[in-house]
Amino acid sequence: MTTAPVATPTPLSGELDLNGRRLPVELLPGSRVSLLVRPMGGAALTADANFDACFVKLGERTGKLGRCRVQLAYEGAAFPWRLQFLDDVYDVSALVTEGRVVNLLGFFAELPLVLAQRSAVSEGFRAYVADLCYDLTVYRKFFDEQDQLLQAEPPEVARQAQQVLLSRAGRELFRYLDTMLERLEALVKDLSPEQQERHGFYFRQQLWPFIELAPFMARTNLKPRGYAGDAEMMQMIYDDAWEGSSSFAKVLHKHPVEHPGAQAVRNRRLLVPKRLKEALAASSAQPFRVLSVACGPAREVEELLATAEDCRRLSLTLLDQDPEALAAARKTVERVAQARGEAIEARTVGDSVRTLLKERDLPSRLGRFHFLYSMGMFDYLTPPVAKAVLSRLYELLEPGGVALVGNYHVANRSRYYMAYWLDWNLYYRTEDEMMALGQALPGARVSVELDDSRCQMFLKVEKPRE
Amino acid sequence: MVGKLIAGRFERSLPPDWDTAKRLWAESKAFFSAHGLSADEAYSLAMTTSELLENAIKYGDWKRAPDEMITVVAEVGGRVASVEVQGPVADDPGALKRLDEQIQWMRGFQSPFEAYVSRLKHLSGHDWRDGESGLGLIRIVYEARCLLDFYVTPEGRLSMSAVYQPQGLYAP
Repeated sequence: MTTAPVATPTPLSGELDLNGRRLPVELLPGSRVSLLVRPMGGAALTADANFDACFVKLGERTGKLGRCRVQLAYEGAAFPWRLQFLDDVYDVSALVTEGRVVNLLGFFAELPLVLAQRSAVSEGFRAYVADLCYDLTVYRKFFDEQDQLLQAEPPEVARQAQQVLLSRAGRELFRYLDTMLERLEALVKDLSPEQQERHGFYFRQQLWPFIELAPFMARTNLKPRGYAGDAEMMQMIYDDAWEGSSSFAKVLHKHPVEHPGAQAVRNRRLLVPKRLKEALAASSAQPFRVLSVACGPAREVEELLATAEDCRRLSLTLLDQDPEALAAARKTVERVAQARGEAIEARTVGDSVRTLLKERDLPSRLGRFHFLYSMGMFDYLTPPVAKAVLSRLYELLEPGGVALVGNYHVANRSRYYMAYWLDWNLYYRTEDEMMALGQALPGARVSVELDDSRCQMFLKVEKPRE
Repeated sequence: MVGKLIAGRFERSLPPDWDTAKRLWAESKAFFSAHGLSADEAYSLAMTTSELLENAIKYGDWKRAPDEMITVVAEVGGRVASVEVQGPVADDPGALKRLDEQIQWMRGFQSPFEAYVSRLKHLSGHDWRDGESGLGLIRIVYEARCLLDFYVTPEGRLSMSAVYQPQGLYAP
């Protein structure tokens, strides 16, 4: 017999049912999957009594829980009996906090659907995945053994030795991963979209023990902010560091953040400020108003506001749907202001472009701009939405203003890596498709340029002067 | 592998009644078949057109805009076939935010099956209430293999679109 739990949330009302006879009870959480019970209205319970069901009052509804048994858990306590379920496993936390009946075994019935996915995967691909898992297990063992050995070393010695390990063996593992990515592309590039999806699903199921080790891969797969490419992921790409709880994890983290697709993110951080400076030089506007759409952590602001003069001349509006991204963007601006010793005129706007378009008079809400840019948003917009968004953004441009819109190119060299390993899916475009978006705008002069990695392109839209 | 897509477009302006949804099924299927899509693909796109139209009828704000019509645009061109359905929508920021989050969540999976399973996992363990399963849109993504997206026009119309990239023309 143990001591009864101290925490006492408000009890739930319920009834235990046996052959249609209802016994009124009150219920409290007893553990993650059991309840504590006390009989009400003078009724009594006996040890090991079984019931057909337990009905729980959940606001205006009544939830039904299946067959259950009571056992004496805390003699003399206000809630002495423990209720355990005989056919199902219920999530008591969801019952108490959300008022929902959640059967933890419910998905078991759907497992055949998931298992059947395997049948659509080619033999060659299965062999490839098996090789990859085997090889990574061998590599992991090696790196873990090195980590263990270094644990006994003084910290500074361990740090230095780990650097050697990463730069020698880590780089060797990089070459292995590159080779396997080439094999992956050769295996899947001619598959239909449906086959790609099935193979991707199979791949991630099998590789998950490795994927979850690397902070970057885990985040792109789990998408804790509900979408890929959140501010934290961007930060990881900008940092381009060896992150992870072990040497092996650090290698798996660093490889994708070094890949050409990630390099394109770092390239655009320089390319956008370069184009902005060109527009700034050609304009006499004071202040020179700039809008960043889907701004993320806005790390490019460090280059946009490279001098105190830039800080005095530019006025920034940073728009994003995600409050966390806006908080990161504000921090970037504060850091830059401190570094330059100048106040910066910057405001943040929290909204999603998809719903922002409903504003009849968008310029009244956001203002008009001499330069606007969107680095990583159009890759998520399908053609009808991309067209509508670009057309409304064009309204925000001052005459003579410039818009710069980034989009990953169909030839992105990290495309299969992103889709299979990272579960990061973009709407890729060709130069012609990008040009077509801009050509629909009245009077606009449009051009497209690729970044140095040739993974990403930028559509430049210039609005004519009146 | 499919044959070459033939560029084309059809646009219809329809009243919000169920009979038009039935008629549009056959019409859109014929359109996609005539523009280079296979029989299966044309069927899926007709199903998608019909689903989006039904959503527009069901969730449209017909109290505010009783005389407005639903516009349906089906288009084939370049690497894609698409359907866009527009109808009046209530100005409910909460509901639009939820739709936005749901669309982004579904689009976050390489495999729509993963989104479908994930939703199923959630539902199979829960005593969900009628109308909140969220499986309708996922079914379009999963069964018709379309990318869903939306925006709201300044006139207060929800434009919901589904884009299909035929086999062999797009990967992954």
